[in-house]
Amino acid sequence: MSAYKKFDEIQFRDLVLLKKALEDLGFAVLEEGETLPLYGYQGDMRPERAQLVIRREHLTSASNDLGFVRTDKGYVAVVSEYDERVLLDGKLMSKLRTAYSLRVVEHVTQRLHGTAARTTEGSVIKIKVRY
Amino acid sequence: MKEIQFEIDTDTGELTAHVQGEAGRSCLDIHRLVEELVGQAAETVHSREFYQRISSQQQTRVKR
Repeated sequence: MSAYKKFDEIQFRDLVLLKKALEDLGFAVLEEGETLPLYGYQGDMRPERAQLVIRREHLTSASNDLGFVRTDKGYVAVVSEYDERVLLDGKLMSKLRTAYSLRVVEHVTQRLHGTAARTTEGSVIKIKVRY
Repeated sequence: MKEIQFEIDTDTGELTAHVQGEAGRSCLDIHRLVEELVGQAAETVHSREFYQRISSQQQTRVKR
């Protein structure tokens, strides 16, 4: 059984942008509720609860449910150790944070009625927004 | 034309915002907007204009 880990240090403040970021990474089927239970890969209910869940059948065959818990600072991910290692080549959190950051930039650009120009230098994406 | 330069480190997903051409309060408003979405972890770097306006406001207050 793979234990769940809560990523308290990474918060996603905006639910709409978080859902868009998840969709960008291919996680389009999401379940929303107040105290949704999380299930392990054998269908065993875990004690953890979440407000946003990607069910394991939408991940890999050996995955556990992936959840997001609402806190006063934003949503934080609850991910099993197995899925942290396996999903998106073991880069789930950095890729999700990148996708979320891109959505933040897009949102700010729209709010300012600006135009964006994007370049990449090594591992850094640079976006100039003019408004 | 005003400009914000965003940088996203894809190794970590961290977002940095450099606001240029905005002075004082307008710059803070943009900072607040980004912070609302990202949280305190977002780093915002103020441009020279920001400090020039603050400095100018401080000088004005001293004159009064």
